Amino acid sequence: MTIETTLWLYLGMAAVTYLTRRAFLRLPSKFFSPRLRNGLSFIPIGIFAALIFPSLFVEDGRLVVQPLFLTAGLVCLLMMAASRNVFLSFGISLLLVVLVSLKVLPFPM
Amino acid sequence: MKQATKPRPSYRQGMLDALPITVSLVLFGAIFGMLSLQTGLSPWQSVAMSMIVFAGSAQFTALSMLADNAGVWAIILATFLLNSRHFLMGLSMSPYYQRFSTAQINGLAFFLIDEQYAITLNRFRHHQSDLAYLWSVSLLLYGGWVVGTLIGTLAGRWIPDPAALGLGFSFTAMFVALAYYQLTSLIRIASFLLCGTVAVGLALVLPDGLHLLAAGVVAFLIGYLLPQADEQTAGPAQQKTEVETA
Repeated sequence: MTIETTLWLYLGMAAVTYLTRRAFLRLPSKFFSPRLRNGLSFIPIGIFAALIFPSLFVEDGRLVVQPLFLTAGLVCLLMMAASRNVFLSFGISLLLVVLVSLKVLPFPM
Repeated sequence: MKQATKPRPSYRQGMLDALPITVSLVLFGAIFGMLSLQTGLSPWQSVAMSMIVFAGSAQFTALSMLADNAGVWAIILATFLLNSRHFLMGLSMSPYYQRFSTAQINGLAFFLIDEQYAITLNRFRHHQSDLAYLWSVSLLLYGGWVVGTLIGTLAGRWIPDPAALGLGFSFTAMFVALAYYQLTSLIRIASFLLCGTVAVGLALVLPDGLHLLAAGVVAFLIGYLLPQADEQTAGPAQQKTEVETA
């Protein structure tokens, strides 16, 4: 790619990306009815679900079951319920996956 | 005289909260840098993309499209579709940004990536939104991504394969831990499972990124149509005394 093409490509990608991030980041406060606020408070549930579930159940466009990731995800949730500590829950569940991946820890499936 | 214990400054708390995922971003930035060289980009082109665009999944997609000789407009359109999920992330964060100046919002919008969204949203559930926290999380994540890309272009051959180490799970683990705070009632748990099912179904048939948008819309509709079903609101003034993230 020439320098000119590269810059046009990057600026175009940056512009559309920025548009999606900036567009609704500030709306007038009168816009927020209680009902709308309740709807907005549910959006993170959908976003988190869409970030988590496909990474557990979709691989290369196919439906898969990954017992190790499912187990680690469950461990993470249980750790959160017990400790309410994000770092601890994140660290322990990731460590489980890393140790099994390195074959340091046996995993039955 | 006894000195009262001061709470940790929010910029430092932001750095602490963002640190684990920054490590992952450095690694994945390095993978991006390495792959971009293989695609034929020069080191400066690789680092410049991370600095100017700052959108991981769109950047990986762009590499794959460049390798297939896709046109500039096709890549820009793919980037837009992939990042359309940020419309809803911005919308759900907007109550917390009301108190900031337009200039600050214009600047912060550049840094609204999935990880920044997840970390700052979690913080603002219990604390008033503040700029120091937002900027420290944003700049640390941005720095991690850019530095990671640079490392990838310089030392690609020594970078461990994250898949072999299972490090791809790090993002899922962080999202699972942060999602826990959203699951505060039965209707929210049911919505989570429903949206997850919808997202998996759509991820199998739609281009990357659109399933996030669809799941966000489904969740919004549930909350909007069942306004009395859950007492929690998205207001910025929620002051709860739950345990902090770290």
